[in-house]
Amino acid sequence: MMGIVTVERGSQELLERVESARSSGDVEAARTSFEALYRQRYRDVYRYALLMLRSAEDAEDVAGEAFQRAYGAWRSGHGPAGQALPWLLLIARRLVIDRMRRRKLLFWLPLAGVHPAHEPADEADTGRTEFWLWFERFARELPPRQREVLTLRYQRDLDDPQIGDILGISASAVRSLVARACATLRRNPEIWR
Amino acid sequence: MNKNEPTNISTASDKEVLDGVRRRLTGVERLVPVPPAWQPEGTAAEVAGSEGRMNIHVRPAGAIGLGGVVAVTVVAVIVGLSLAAQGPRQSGGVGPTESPASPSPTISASTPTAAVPTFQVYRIQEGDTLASIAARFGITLAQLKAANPWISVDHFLLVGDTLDIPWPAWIPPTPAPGPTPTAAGTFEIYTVKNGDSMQAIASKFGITLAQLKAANPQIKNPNYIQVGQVIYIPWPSWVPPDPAASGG
Repeated sequence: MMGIVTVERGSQELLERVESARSSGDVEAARTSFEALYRQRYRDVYRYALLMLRSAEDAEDVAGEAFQRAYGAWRSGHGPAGQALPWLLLIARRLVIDRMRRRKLLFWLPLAGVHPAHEPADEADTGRTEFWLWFERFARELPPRQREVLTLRYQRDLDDPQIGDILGISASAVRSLVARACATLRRNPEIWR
Repeated sequence: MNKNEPTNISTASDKEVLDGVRRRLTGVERLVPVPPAWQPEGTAAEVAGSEGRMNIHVRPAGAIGLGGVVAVTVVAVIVGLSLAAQGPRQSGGVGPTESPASPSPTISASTPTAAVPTFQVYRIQEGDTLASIAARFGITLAQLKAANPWISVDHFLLVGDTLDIPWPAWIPPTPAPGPTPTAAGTFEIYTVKNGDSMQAIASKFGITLAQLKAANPQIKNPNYIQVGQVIYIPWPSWVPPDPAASGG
């Protein structure tokens, strides 16, 4: 039953479904429609957490906890005002920041959390290591906020005002972060070529 | 005033730079897993909910749970593939979906409750296109898009993204605008391959272009067909009236 599931697509429709199920007190309907949202957006939340924390274990924890909190908030009537993804990422971001503080910024050190002792065993592992090596360089050149903005823009699912909401800044501040990131990257063409 | 070493600064536009970063960032996709099973556990959630704190378990305990999900997904995809492969063959020579003259027993037997559309999950592999995925599961591009409304021009499809494939793959969720079968009209289903044109398909099956067009009123522009698209070939038993091309 896990591979074959009933899914309704479209965040907006899902939101309405969960909302109506919640207000009518139908626990089962709320659960299944939230599950559809979970399936649709899990990877987005996970990817964000992974790029911020650079640890698969932490990303899994954060993604799981973010949806857990989201579901709890939803059931108690504090759902998102608009679209689901910015709301989920906002929750995830708070968890990510919590974790960063707890780790006392240790992971900003090169390759921390990427298992430095880990030797690539197969092709997939080599690809993984390659990606992280690239990301290290990317992270070295760009300050955290510029990097975060580019990470959030990566999927093109979010527009600038939404990214601003997640980061707690204005849309024009988002654009200026992007412009500064571009200026930095232009000086380091090997990162994006 | 060459404090910024102008020779080293690329003149690329912002878009080029950002697209480059985005391309490199796609490497993260292979690190992103399939979502683990969602298990809020109804009763537990109910109890915890009354305490004001949710107690739902999104993450399965340990790697076994995740492995299970992956295995099940893989099985589902394999089953889907074999079904997709069988589907058209079993219904070949019979009406495509709604031929009243000869209802296909294989289709009606395995049709689940038609009201509940079910989907299977497919993870995008390297080299896939929407059309190739649709062709692989024996559905049309339109059906695939209808099942995944989040796909847009502006949205990169990435390796590892999951698509929902209407299930069973070869039963369209909404009746596709196919040919209206008259009398004893039977059709062969043909999937467009690379390099095909309507004319080429028609001559391949020994019919005229006009006959092929008449059997496929759903194709608005016969000059534009896509790989993976399903075309109905009128079988010799039914030859539509063809006043235009009497020469054959």
